[in-house]
Amino acid sequence: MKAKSIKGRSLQEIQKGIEESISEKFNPILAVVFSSVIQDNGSISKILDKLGIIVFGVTTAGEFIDGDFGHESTAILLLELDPSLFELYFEESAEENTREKAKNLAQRALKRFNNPAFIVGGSGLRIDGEFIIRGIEDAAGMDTTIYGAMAADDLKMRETFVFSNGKSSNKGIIMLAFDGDRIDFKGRATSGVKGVGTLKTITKAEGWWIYTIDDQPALDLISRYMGVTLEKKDKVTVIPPEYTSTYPMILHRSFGDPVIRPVLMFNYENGSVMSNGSVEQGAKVQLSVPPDFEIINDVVDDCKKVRANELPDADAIIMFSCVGRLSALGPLISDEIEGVKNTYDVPMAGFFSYGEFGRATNGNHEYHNLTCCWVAMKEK
Amino acid sequence: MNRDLENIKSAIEQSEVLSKSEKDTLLNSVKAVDKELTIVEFKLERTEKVKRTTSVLLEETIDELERKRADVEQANAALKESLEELKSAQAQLIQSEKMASLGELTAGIAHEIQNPLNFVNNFAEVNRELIDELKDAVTTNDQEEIELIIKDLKENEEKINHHGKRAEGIVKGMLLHSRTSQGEKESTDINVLAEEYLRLAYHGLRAKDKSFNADFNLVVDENIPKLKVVPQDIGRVLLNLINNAFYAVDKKAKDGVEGYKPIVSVIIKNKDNKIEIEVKDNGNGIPGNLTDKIFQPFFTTKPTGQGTGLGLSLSYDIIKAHGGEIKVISKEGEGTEFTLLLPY
Repeated sequence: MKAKSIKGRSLQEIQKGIEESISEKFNPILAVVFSSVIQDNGSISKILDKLGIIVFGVTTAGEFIDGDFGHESTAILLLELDPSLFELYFEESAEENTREKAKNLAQRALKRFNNPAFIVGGSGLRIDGEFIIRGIEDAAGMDTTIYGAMAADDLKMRETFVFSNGKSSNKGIIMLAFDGDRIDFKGRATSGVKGVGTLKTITKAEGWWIYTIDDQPALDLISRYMGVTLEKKDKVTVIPPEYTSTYPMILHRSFGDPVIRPVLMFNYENGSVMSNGSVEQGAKVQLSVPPDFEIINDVVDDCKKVRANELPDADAIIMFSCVGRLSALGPLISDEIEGVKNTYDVPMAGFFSYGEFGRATNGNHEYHNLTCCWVAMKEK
Repeated sequence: MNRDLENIKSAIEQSEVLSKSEKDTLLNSVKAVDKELTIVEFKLERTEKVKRTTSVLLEETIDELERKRADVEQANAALKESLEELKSAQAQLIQSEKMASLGELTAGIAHEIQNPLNFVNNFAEVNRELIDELKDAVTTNDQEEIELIIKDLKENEEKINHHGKRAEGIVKGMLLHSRTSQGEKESTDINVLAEEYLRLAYHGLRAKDKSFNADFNLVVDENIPKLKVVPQDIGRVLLNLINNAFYAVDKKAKDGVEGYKPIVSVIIKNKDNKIEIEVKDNGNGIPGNLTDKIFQPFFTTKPTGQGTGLGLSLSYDIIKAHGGEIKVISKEGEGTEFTLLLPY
């Protein structure tokens, strides 16, 4: 497997970058495209399509190929590899029955590969990432490799897209299945968000909405904790991202590891708050404080450990970092990205997302928030 | 970029004195300082946010503790109420047990009262005859006879009085036994108390069941001191143990064991500053797996309706309340020995 990464702020710049990358020595057939919603992603796909390159595209809230991350731009990881090593699947309409549809995609991959490894993207605002990961696990089991993230839209909170050659969906799932027997995948999910205070009980919840915590309106507790009073324009009020990302909740559910969930919206009419995914009534919830700045060293140290103990060399790295980390870690986020990239010193592409998939140390695959997930790939 | 840094940067860029390489070096330094400054400002802002959050969390925690304290107080109040109800129920149960044991005593008491009453009646009858004889002696002016009769009358009167008091004592004891209020400790002769309750138990059982037949044996120790105890409470314990012993031997006798002679012994001894009272029977004994349970409230091996299951539990409480001990040794098929140890 060979890889090159490029970035650009305009279609011309991107086209130039792609064309300059391709040579006799490098003939990519797969492009992992992380691109802002303001970019002409349809045209980017067409350019790649004309070159016979398969597109795995996800919209973003910031893109990077190194520590100098961009905003409203495009980052592309071009990969040259044997076509028999991967297959791309696209589900245009996964808003309903997400789990079943994710399972169907994974089952298709299982027909092609005995041991598939997945890189997945989903439309962040309309699809519950929890169901994507559970659906894949339903088909491929708990031990399968899953990394990926939910698409973003530069914090506009309107529409997020997944796209491929001639396709784009604001309620879809895009999935790359690799032959896990012939390509090694190693990575980590690290958040650093720490729970504080006592565990409280979600006493009423439905779907993504939490109505009461310890029998008190959830809005009272969360808004007080965030220190935010918003103008009640509509029935539902979107919370500014700086609050959303800095003060997530930690959910302790009846299954799986604890997960971090930001609160995205307030409903002043019924005192409820909306999380970034479905919430189980009866689950325990804990408030949190943002990660210490040392978490950046932890992420980079973890990467070094993986390199030392699990995967000494890589062909490419893909990184999914929650947009909330931008608010939580500010300018220091560059050090995190740079640290991971420099550990392997291979082409990398990544983006700031609305939810991440990955496996924490000693944990199960989970749908995370406020997390930095990275995965290194190496053809055997 | 920070405005002051912008000015410095601009001054460097416009300088005609500095060489290009010097400008580059200085501009790089300005850029590095700007980056550091941005990071420091960000960290400061974050620290402020965390400070506010911590304060909210602290308030939350205090509120939660306050709520939990209120919950605990509420739970405490409910527990107190339950405790009161339990105490009241316990008092009622104790009273029921007292009344039940009083029932067991009734026949024995009747038998015990019958004896002094017989004496009273007999001596009253004798006195009536003596008065008739006195009248005759007065008529014949037989001074010697008159004095003799008066002496007899006086002696009989004393006997009537003695047996009347004995009957009164038995009735008083019965009343004490059934009283609900806490009895007071008084100096008590354990030998007498044990004899009284052994006889009451025996005659009570005999009166209720004509087929009941067992030997009993009392060994007292004349050297023991009087004990400060609540006599009706210790009496209740003795009655309970003795009744159980008679019940056990009677059951074994009725099982038709060949050559079996039912016997209950009460042995009183002075032992290391304590008075030891043994109540022994040669009944069937208590099965080994049940000896740990016999002092539990409502545990009984008697058929339904024949035992409240409170007798030994109350006995245990009474002996503990007197600072004493109650122990049991039982061999299946051979018998049971209860030992009470009451300190001086």
